[in-house]
Amino acid sequence: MTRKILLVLAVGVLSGLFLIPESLYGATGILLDIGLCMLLFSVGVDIGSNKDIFKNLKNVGFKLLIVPAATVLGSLFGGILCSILFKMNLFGSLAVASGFTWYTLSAIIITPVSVELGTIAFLSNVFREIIAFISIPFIAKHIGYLETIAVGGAISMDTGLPIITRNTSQEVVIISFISGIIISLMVPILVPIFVGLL
Amino acid sequence: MAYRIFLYFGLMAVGWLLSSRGLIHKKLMNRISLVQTFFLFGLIFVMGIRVGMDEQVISSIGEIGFKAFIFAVATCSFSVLFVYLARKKFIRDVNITGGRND
Repeated sequence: MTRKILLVLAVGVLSGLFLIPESLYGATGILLDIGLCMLLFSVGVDIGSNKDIFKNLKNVGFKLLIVPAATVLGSLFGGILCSILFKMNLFGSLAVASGFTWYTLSAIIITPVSVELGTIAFLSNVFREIIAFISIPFIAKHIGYLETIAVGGAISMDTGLPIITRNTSQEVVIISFISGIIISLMVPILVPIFVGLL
Repeated sequence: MAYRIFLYFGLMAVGWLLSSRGLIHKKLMNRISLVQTFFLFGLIFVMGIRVGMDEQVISSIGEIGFKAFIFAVATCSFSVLFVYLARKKFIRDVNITGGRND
């Protein structure tokens, strides 16, 4: 699965670099939206075919919130370590770390204050998304299902969801979607806070 | 943002409703995993195209790419570690943990 994903991604990047005319950039956005909608519908169909999911989730209850909370705290801790490693401003590093793969929003908020930080935010979140695509099958198999949500952060509710669906259980798909929403909601809150402290 | 969340929730809810009430054709139900794989690879391909077409991303990868990569590895690694530790302590359901809590 991972090799296929990498191959498809590489073919896509090369196509974007050498084959696809720039005028079609807008169309790729529409394609992504349509594909995502179809995918989420099919995920809903898949979930609906299993009658026991919500009963199982009820047993877990409020513990579901542990996943987005731990994901956010882990990312911020990673940001603190990077600020020490690169001798960067602490709040700048925390702002970069608060993108949680939502690279467009975090970079847009940070760039007016620091172009370099904004670019780091953009690229690091793109890299994190790619790392998530590649590592989710491995993490599901060797570490645990819930950790697949942590690696992707915000994409756990959209583009990461199908990979999580393919590699974990239907209960985890619902937790993933809810966690992805909570993590996404943290981006427009945390990034401006840390940028304001720069 | 709010519109997208409602759209995503709505689509999943409609799919779930139709499926749980048996309104989806059996042939489609049997191939739903294949359908998901098709859209997944389609989305990854288009995402790759967008990355390849974005000059800002391509041109700056060499300059500050290393820092960004370390940021990416650090943030996702510690997120995974924190969820792993929390899951070990608080969550036992095998369907959710993947059966790796022992």
